[in-house]
Amino acid sequence: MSIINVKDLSKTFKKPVREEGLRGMVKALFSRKYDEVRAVDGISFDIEEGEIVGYIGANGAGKSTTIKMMCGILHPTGGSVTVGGLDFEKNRQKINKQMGVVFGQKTQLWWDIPLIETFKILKSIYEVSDEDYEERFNYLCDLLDMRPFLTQTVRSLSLGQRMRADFAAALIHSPKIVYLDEPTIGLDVLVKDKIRGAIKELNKKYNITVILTTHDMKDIEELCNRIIIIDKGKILYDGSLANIKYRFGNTKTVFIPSNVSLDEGELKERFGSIELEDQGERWALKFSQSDVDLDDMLLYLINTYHIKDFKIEDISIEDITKQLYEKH
Amino acid sequence: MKNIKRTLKLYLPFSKAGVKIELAYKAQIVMWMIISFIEVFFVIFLYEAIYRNSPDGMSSVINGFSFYDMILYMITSFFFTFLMGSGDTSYDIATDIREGTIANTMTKPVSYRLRHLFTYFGVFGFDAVVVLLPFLTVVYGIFIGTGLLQVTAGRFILNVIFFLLFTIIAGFVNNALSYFIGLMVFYTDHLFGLNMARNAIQGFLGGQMVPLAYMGAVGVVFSYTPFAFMNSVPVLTLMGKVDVMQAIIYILIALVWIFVIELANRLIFRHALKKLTVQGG
Repeated sequence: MSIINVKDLSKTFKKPVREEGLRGMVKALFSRKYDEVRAVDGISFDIEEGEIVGYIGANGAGKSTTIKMMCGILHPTGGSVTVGGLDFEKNRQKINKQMGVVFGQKTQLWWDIPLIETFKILKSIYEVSDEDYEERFNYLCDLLDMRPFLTQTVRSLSLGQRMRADFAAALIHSPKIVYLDEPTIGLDVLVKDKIRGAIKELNKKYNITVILTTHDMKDIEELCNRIIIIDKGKILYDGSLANIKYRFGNTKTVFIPSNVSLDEGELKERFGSIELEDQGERWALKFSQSDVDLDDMLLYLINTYHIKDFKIEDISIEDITKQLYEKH
Repeated sequence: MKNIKRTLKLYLPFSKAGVKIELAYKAQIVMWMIISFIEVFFVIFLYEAIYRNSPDGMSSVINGFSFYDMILYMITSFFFTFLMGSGDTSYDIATDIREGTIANTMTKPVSYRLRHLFTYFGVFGFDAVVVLLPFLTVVYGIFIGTGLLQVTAGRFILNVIFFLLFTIIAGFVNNALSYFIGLMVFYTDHLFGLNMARNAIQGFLGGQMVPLAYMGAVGVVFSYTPFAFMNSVPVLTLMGKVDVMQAIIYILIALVWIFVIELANRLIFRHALKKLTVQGG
């Protein structure tokens, strides 16, 4: 059953245009010109309950604007968003009770007071019963390893601690939907793993619907079963991760150590459309399996260059998005 | 009744958080007190010079104020100004907009207005109980004890009751105006100029530096503006310069102002939300 319905959604921002220099600034005081920027351009999609959807795109593609309209923060210029059949105009508080949000760069924690106090305030705001709060709070504390810093003020937490706390704060009221806008930005590998693990576990345990925007393709590959790729406010792709990988999946990359002296001319002559890239410590040979037979290529490399170490990789989602952007 | 109980349960944690935030910045209160004492000291010197050079010297009564009335007015006024400056909601809203944290606040199932009102009253209540009232008790104790303020016990109790009522009203007016200024940041992106303008107007129309009685007929008009309820009216009430009938008229006018400003805030907030762009993506 679809829990979020986005229909013909668009958002246009007016941005003031100023001429260069002091003269331009003075001129802007008396007459202001505006440019219209269409950040989101008539997009539609449904999200099913329990899905983990990756919403990806380059900077300025319109993903955060879409998420903010889906959360009811920004008012759409056109189209609609409904959550569980309700719209924000009349049911803002009802919808807000069902969702949790994490905006990676903007904390929802109370900066000047101990972390535990934020959770107590959230308990009251969301009217969580004592038993539910205890159960959920202890579960999240253990899952995200928060106990060591619960009594510290938020401003004294490290970024990793704050992000874990922000993530827990978004989930303390057992929301049905969680919006995660770049939740792993600036975090080290260990904290990223912790947060990814928590998302997976919570989705499995509570069937939470997760909408995730990120620039970290590992987030997408580890978590999402569906991705929506957006560029210039329009959807480029909406479907399963497996499907898009299948579409681009016949592209392989073979990595070999850089101490091998490859003859690029010979390789291109023999295999045709092959892309050779010097990555410092290794060579990357990219090719489409429809043009080059992988077995032939490996046999050639082993026999000609006596290669002992090599690695084969499927195309990454990062490469796929790059190719999609280039196509459009 | 059930609704009021639910609202209080929902929003009182914001007031408690307000108190905790104020406790986290104790040094700020102490600093403000030191600066206020210095300011009061200078102003007393200024008025001492004015009275000394008046026709009847130090025993002159100017616009209904003797020299000691003026000292009491200035001290009360400075402490009341401190209270009006605590827990500035416009600053919180501006921070929300400037840092984009409004994205988080707007996704909570609570009213943006009430959240700010309750947080403010946490800070306001704390500062009123911990700073304003103890200091005023000492100051009025000295003035009454030494006979510089002559008032009967019954009348003084009545003054205190009305003063406490006007203090609460001042909190509502102050917060409604701060919220209004905060909402303006949705349109201007900057708070600094707005707050400068507000402070200048409030200082003048509220009678912080010069009592409104010094301004003649214009002062009478000013005494009915919202700014007067944030200083002049409560201060004069505690000094016993407002009679019961006048106090009741002031209360009614203050309630009308609160209603009008809150209504404007409601309309502006609805419009501002449609204009909202969240900074930083």
